[in-house]
Amino acid sequence: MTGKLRKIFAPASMLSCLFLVLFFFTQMYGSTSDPPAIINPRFKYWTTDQVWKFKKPYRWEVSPLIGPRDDAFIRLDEVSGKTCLGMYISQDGEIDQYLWATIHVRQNLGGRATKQLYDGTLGVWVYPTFLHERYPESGHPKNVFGIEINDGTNIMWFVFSQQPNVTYSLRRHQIVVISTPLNAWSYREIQIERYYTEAGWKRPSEVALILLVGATRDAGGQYTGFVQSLAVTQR
Amino acid sequence: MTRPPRSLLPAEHEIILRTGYLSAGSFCLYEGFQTWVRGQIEVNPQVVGYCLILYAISFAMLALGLSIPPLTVRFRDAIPVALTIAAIISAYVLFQIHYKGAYRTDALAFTHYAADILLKKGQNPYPLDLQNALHEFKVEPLYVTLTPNGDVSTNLAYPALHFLVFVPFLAMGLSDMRWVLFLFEIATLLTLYVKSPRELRPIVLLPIFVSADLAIDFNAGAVSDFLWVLPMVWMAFYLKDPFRSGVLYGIACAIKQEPWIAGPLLLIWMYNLNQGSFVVRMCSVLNFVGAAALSFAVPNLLFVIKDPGAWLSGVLTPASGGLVLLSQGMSMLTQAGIVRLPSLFYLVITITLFLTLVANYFVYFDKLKYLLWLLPALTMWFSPRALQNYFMYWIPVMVAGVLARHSELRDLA
Repeated sequence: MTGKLRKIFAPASMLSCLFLVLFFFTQMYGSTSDPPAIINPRFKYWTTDQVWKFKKPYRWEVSPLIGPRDDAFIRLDEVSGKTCLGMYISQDGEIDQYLWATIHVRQNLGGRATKQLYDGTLGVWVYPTFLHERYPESGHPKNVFGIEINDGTNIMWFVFSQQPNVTYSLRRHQIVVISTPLNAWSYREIQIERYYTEAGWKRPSEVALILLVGATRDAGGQYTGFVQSLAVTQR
Repeated sequence: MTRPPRSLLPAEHEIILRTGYLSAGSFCLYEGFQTWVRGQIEVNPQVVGYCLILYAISFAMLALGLSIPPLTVRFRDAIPVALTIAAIISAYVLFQIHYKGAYRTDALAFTHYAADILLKKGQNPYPLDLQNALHEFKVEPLYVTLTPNGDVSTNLAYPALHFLVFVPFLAMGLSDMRWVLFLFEIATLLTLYVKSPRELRPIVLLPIFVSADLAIDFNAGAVSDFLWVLPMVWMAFYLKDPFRSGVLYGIACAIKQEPWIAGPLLLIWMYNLNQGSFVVRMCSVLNFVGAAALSFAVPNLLFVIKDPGAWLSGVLTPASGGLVLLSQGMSMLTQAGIVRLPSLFYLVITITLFLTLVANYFVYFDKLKYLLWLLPALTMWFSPRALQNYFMYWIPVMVAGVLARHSELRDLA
């Protein structure tokens, strides 16, 4: 290699490298791929809950709300060939401290994750096993299998049940029934932003995304729901 | 007034030896305290014994460092023994008592599990979902690897020798593969010690033991990089022999992906190995490439034939953008939310920088020759996933490179 080339190669190559880095920087700045909105959306790696001492999927929090003789638990299941999260409750129908027996599987979503959730579409694979029921007089729900979006002020339920699509409102509580066949796997997409706008609610800065199964004491019995996975995709 | 006893060594060698003793004593003192902290002596009384051993070794080393010359010289080979004993005791307390036997990383959990299912069921682990390994080895949730969509990564993401190396140990009934990692570390230390000139041996292991992370903590935490470090260290001593170094490089590459990045630099090294015509130079390169390809292929071939797609997607996982951005390198700016850039940016600048370094290495080989083992670590620092082990584990290889150069200079002299 000639001496002249050797003299200029290092500064020339370093400058070219710097130029390319700056070029890519200007081209790509801002187009960041956000960290995932939901961590562990397929419910892998079950770890022991330090408080309740039962197993739960990594990064998800589980809270049962039950009376003395009710029961609630979650487990890793396999249903119709799909590995999934199984949520179970047993409502004894007795008058307890609480009207509901529920199990919540929750993940709190911070600023950027919440933005992704509202800007995007939430896709979910679900397997409902019971019909959603309401009190005839008040219209309040008697049981539920679905997803709760809880922003600390308002609660929105997306209920999966084999009945026509319908949305009904209670005080600070919007319930969206999404028609979904029973005892079969179905993929459903939800644009949360749309329902928030319809309800006239402001987009929150952080929310809890909760998978839930529950029943009131007037709807005693066994209730089960299965969720295989969740995903937030950009619209 | 008495005269000081005559030294058996030249003054500069004696000060090196004494520095070695004092460094070993200081390290053992530190590990004695760490063992006391981690071992919880109130509930684990056996740890008291380990602490006493570590403190005894520490004071013995410090005493030898300050003793009269005959004693100092007679026990000079005690330095690596002391360091190794300290490393083993400290690691044992760390992973058996402090970590309660659980693996800290999913890498060792998956490769241990893969070896297990290959041995017991004869199954190819590449197409399988290995998530059971996370439960079986109680992997620390903090160190679970995530994909960009938030999913937990549960496939085998390493070349085959990474888990094949565990098969004989599993067959012998060993249940904790961290002992295998320590075996490889001890073999690395022994190699560096034996290959070092006599007068430098007391301090030759200092670059490794100056950080407990490299000497103990990462191994105890189930970071498996010493598996590839050993063949790379051996390789660094045989760079004049394209075939032998090629075989060792292929073995290192068949264990983990970090050594792959040294490939282009090694080709330049081989090209410059012999002065002569282009054909002569290319002979060295082809000899090296052939040997490396062969030793890489042997352990992997069976799995490639069985399921080429699964093997390829597994070993290319780190480069395919299939893992979430996580970094102690440049991309920590994005991880911390300071600079909004995608993973692709860091991948592109890593490639750009690497190509620039390789081109300069080729043009200025005479000046940059011995930076060979630094450039892969430096390159990785810019990558989207730039983890401490991607840089830190090149240090033993750098030590080997320095020793190889020293021996070259001695031969010239």
